Amino acid sequence: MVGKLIKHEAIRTRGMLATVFGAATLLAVMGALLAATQWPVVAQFGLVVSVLGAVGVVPATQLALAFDYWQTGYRRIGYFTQTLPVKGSTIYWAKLAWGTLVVVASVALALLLGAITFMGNAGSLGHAPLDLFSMVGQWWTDMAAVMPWWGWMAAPPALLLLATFNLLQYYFAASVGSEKRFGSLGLGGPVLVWFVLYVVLQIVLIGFMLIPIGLGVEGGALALVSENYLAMVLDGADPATVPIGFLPGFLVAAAVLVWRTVVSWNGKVSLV
Amino acid sequence: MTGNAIEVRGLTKTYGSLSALDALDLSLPYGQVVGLLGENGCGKTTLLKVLAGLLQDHEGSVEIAGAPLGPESKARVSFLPDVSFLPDGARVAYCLDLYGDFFADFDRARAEDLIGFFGLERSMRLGQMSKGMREKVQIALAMSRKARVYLLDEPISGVDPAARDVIVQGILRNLREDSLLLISTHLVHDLEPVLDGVVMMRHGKVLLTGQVDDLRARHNKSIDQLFKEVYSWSAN
Repeated sequence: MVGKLIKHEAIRTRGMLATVFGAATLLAVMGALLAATQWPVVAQFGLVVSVLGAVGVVPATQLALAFDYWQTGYRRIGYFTQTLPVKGSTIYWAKLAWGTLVVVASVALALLLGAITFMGNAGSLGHAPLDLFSMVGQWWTDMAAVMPWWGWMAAPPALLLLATFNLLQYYFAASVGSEKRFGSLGLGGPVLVWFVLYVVLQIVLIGFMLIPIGLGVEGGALALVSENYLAMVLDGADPATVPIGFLPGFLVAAAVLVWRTVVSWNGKVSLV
Repeated sequence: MTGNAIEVRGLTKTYGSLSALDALDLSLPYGQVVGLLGENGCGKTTLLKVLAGLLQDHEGSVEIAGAPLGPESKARVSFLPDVSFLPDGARVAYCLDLYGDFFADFDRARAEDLIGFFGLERSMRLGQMSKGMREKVQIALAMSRKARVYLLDEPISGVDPAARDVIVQGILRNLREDSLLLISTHLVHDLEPVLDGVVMMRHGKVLLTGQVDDLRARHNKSIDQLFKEVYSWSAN
């Protein structure tokens, strides 16, 4: 059943995703071409447009998926979705799995559009377009020199979590914001829940960030180091390491968001 | 598991301070076409939505098609809401695939027969159809499931009188005799000839229920006349 759910998620959203991906690609390519002219004003406008395409594709994709999730779960099409003979949480997992795949694809597209943006703007930055490959190669070599084995293991799931965390928030807000107490607010319900969630998450994640664990270079390799970030913040000092205490915070928050959204799907559905 | 198609006890559903369903009790057996009657806002749609599993925030006990509300009941209950519930961009052929994939009791041949009966093409997109045409597609899909209980919410409202007759014929065309068909409507006159029983509601409660023939004989009037009389009583 999950396979069929994902199949129909793909069929239903493909037009919408093609529009988002196509628009972002068009912006990045057109902007890069304008930037490549190096004409005053035109090139600067091109830079802005191409960066908008490259940077905007991931959040635009996430928002589009979230709107579709709300529409198909709790609005008109929800009258079909919520009568399917499966547990509500099964539908949620299918939507989340498809959404994750799409977000990963959007990140890959964003990297590609970023490369196009760089190439278009390379002249203005004092580079040749193909310098990109040597720069990426150098960055990769430097990274490989300092990255320990556990770093290679931890990086993919951490990056995946960061990439999909917005989706978890949006889906949570759409589900909880469509429950009985918010039912009369329409789109206002999810927006209100998202806003409250955003404020709460900022406080929680800042709290986690003060956990004295960071990423620094020790003995020529990346290593977990202990650093009292709270004291540094209070002293106004700049840390020489990257605080990563927020990562457990993200994990805990993600688990809570998923759990509460599952509760909503399984027992709190209330279509208007 | 009871022998009834629908067994509801003390069903209450509120919207803020308003009781849409007020400790409602209802038992309906299989093998009937039952009209769920009442004026706008009396709780008909809310009752059907609860029975279809779309309103989980209710109180009271509900058993439908021999199962409590959940995936098992949804597998045995076919619901037609009073909204267009399929994507506008979908073609009729895709809707058939959709139902075939998700409902084990979906009979595609029956659906194609109904689509043909309604004079629709499989290649048509829902977004290009009139309200009446979309309603026909949705009825063809809902009625082509071999369900134990069919819940139809206002299937003939908003369409012209000629189309109403065709829709009613389509609904009954392949109906299983051992199933329950519960149709909400305020267009009593159009549905009266096909009804075996009625449930009349007001203010979230059942006002009157019974077999159509018994009610006609007892009150010596048509159901349409009785409907008007019942609501004139309750209004006073």
